This record gives sequence, C-alpha cells and structure tokens, in this order.
Amino acid sequence: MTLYICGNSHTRALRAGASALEQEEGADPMVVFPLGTADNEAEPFSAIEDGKVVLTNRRFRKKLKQFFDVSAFEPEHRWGICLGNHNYRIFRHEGWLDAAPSWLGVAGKTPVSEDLFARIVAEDQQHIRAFFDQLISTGVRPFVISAPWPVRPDPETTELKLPLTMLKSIDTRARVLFADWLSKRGIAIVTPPVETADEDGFLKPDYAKGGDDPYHGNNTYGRLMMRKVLAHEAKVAPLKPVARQA
Amino acid sequence: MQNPYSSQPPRAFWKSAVADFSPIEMDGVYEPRFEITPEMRISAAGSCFAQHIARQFRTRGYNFMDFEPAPAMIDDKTADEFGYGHYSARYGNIYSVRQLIQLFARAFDRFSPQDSVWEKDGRFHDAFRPSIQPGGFASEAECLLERTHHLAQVKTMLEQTDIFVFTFGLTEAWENTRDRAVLPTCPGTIAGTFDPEVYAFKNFRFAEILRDAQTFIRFAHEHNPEMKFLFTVSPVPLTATATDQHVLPATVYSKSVLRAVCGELMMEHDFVDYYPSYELVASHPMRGAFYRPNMRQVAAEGVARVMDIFFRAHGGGEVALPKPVSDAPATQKSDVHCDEEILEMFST
Repeated sequence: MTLYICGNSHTRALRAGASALEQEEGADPMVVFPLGTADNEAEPFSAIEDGKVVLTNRRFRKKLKQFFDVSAFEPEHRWGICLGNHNYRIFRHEGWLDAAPSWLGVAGKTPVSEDLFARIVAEDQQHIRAFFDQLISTGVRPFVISAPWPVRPDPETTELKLPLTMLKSIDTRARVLFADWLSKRGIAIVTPPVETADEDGFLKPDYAKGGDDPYHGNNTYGRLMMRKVLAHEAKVAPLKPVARQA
Repeated sequence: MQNPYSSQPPRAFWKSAVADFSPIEMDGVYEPRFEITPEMRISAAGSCFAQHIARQFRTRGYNFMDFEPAPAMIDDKTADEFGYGHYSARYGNIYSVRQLIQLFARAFDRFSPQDSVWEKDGRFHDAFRPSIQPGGFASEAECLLERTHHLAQVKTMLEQTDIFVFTFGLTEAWENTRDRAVLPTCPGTIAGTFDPEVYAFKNFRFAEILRDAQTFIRFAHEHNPEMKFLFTVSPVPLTATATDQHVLPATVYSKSVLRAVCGELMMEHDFVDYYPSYELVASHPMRGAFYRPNMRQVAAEGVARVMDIFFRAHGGGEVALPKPVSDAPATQKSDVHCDEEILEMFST
C-alpha cells in the first residue's frame, strides 16, 4: 500500500517535511502534494463516478493527475487527506463582532448555542465532509491530517479584532466537532504536534511561516507533523515505498 | 326619503359590496385608520399567522424591525429552523394577550414565573418558547443565557416600535395555577411534564382578553407613548380544543371572542386599527377558497390575497404570488412555524 498525501495549501509544509525526512532520515518515499488552496473547499469539489471518487474541481483534478498520476481515489492506495480544521473562515467571520459562543457566557452579545455552532461548522465543512463520505462509500480508507493550530493574529494587521480567547475557543470547538464527525465514520485524524502550540493554543512563531502569511506552518512544522503522520501510519498500515515523484 | 342608509357608500351594502362580486373581486374591505409609511418601525408578534404578516412587511420594503436577528454566520434556512426572523424577536408563537403581557413583564423584570427551563431527554427547553431551539438547548445555563439576551431584545422592541402588529390566535391556553403564567404549549407536548396539580386549562373569556389587551396597551404606552397598534385575528382554526366541545364550535367561539375584542379596542382607541384578515379568509363569502384542503392551513394564495388588500389600502402594489399549493395533501406541513400543530400527534 502506497501512502499518498494530498489536500489544501497546508500540504506544502507536509511536502517539505516529507522531503526532509526522506533525505535526512531515510524515510520511505511517499507522494505528498497540495491540490489547491482552502478557498476551493467552499464549493463542491468531488463526486462519485463509476464507483470511484473523482475531483470535480478543475484545479484539484489537474493536480491529482499531475502529481499522483491518478484520476480517482482508489482503495488500494492509502490516502492521507489534509483537509479540515482550517477554521479561519469560521472564526474570522465578522458576525462574531455581535455574537459569542454560548459556552463562553458573554453578556451583551447574541449567544450562539452549541447546536447552532455545530451547524456553522457543518456548513463550513459540508463539501469536505461530503468528500470523506464519498471516499468511505467507495471503499477508500482515508485518514485526515489536520491543519496546524491557528496562527495568533497580529494586532497591527488584523482588521477584525476579536478577543483571542473567543477566537481560540471557536477554533478548539470546531476541531472537536470535526474530530467527532470523523470518529463516527471510523476516520482517524492526526492532530498537530502539541509542542508546536504556545500556552494559548496558537501556533508558535517558530513553526509558523511568518511574514505576510497568516495561516501556514513552516518547513520545521511540516517535518514534525510528518513524523507524527508516519508514526500514525506505522501503527495502522505497513507502507510500500514508491518511486520518488518530480 | 332620506335616512341614514341613504348616504352610505356601496361598501356598506351586502349586495353591492359582497353579493355582486366573487371573493377575489371584493374591494374596499379595509380602509386604514392611520398611515403606515415605509419609515415607520414596525414590529410583530402573535400566533403563527403573524409570521406571514412579518414576512410580507419585510418583502414589500417596509421598515420591519428584527431586534433579535440571527447571527450573521448562519444561512437563512438554519436561521428559520432556529426560530430567527419569524417575528421581531425570537419569542416564537404568542397565542394570547396574556402571554404577550407576561412576555413584556418578564422583559421588564416584573414577573418571574416558576416555570423556567424544562428538561427532556437531557436537553433543555425554554418553557415560554419550547420549540425555539430544535431539540432543545445543550444545558440549562445555555437556555438561560439565551433567554436573558432574548428578553433584553424584547425590552428594546417595546421602546423602539412605532406600530405594533399583533395577531390574536387563540382563547385556549394552559396556565400554571400557582403563578398564573400562561404557556404557549401544554406541558407534556413539546417538552415539560403535565401535572394536573400545577397546570390547568384556561379558555379566556371576552372580558379577560379585553382587560389584558387594555393592560398591554397601557404598559406599552408607559414606555412608548406614541405607539400605534394594528390588530388582526388569525384565520387559522384550532388544531385541537381542550374543551368538551367539538373543535368547530370551539374554533368559532375562540375567533368570535377575539374578533369582538378587536372591535371593542378599535372603537375605544383611535390609535388602534383592525385589519380583517380573519374575514378575508374565513368568512363564508370566501367559500373556504383560501384554505388548503385540510381547511385549516391558509394557502399561499390566501395569504397573498389578504396581504395584497392590506398593502394596496396603504398605497402599495402587489407582489408575485408564491408557488400554488392547491394540490398539496391535507397533512402538508405549514410554511410557518406553529407550535400548536404538535397537538395533531395526540389525535386518536
């Protein structure tokens, strides 16, 4: 079984990490490539055709063919999917200026109940969830590689100034909901390394790409995360080396 | 020979106003008592038919107020499911004026009912709007937090409304006999536990409803002296009666009393107007044409007809009819949210 890893732009750090592990530690080669940015998750991007899951998003489909040399997700491959937990669309919504999660007990703001919040998360992830359901229904056994912890917003450049505790709480709850959803389907998720989070749960600057990139982990992060991914895989599925891709 | 009828307009005579017209041609049924301008702040509450009125004010570009809007992160469908946007705050159906008075009394800290949060299967329901959160709230604390926010918006509504539209729904209600709190649904239906030692059926009588309505108007004017009132009676019959009567005479009693109260209020106060939505749907010249086959739910055409007449009288145009539902089954779900429809589940 070959390990293929694809997903949104957080896959770039994973690719760098996989490369480093292959070169420096002799890890088995694997195929790791991003398919496109997280914006593409906001619309349907997959479907089942002839009993196999294909990508209907043109960019995703092109990348899948280009880097993995496949047109569909086949059960004989082991797929690590780096989608989900990129919760910026949720916690950066300006609606939070007037609202707050009910579990925080904030007075004077519209309470967003736990159930309503779950709907918000489900709505945000609807196409990702549909994709995973499609994979399962066609016999593919994917696992999920989480997006990194959120990057602490820079107060100088962030327009939407929300309390950090609220922002982090929204992200944490969304991650729990996604993990629960995956768990109900028997899909494992590899979460970011604990050591990459600061005391408030944000990605430490040492592991963030930095500069004008407000989302992504850097190569060091990618290496740590890939180590965790490989440890996870070693427990569940013996990997077969593949020829290195370009 | 001259007499008082000689100078009456054609609309005063059955032949020229009703008999010579088909139901859809009838005109002049309503003449507004006061102007409603697009700038006026309009709020609405009442039985489920009031949702149509709220929707129509919004659709036709009036300044319909929503003091408790859905969080901006959720889509319209979810907002609707969670009870947002039905009225001017998230109070759900208010079937009686007593319930309305007590809502404002709670908002202004003048009434703290014993019924508060009902637990059912590990979920928590607000006793005064038990279906507002699908499946109930996750915890009692969450329910109470939402209620605090809700009542604050209700308070604001009373202070920032120019025209308050209330649709009288029912005379039948359930009340807690210990503190007289009136509940929107019978405990033990959507949530709560029915205890005959605590809860009793109440069929409000004319004098009680009139007194309650006067109390409400006085209370509203204490906080907002310029407020005007537009009252209507819902043409939607009872889903079920808790009296020993057949549901049809029970419905007619209920609607007749409510209609009479509205007439009394209109005759007494020049700041009260009555809109005959009940007559435009339920009266016999309409031949039941605006009901769905179950003769209870009002068809979309009926709603549009009623509201077209209202807005035309106020100088507005008509809007496109919603998709016809004339072939809909008699058990079709309402396109508005009606708590009392759960009573159909208890029919044997």
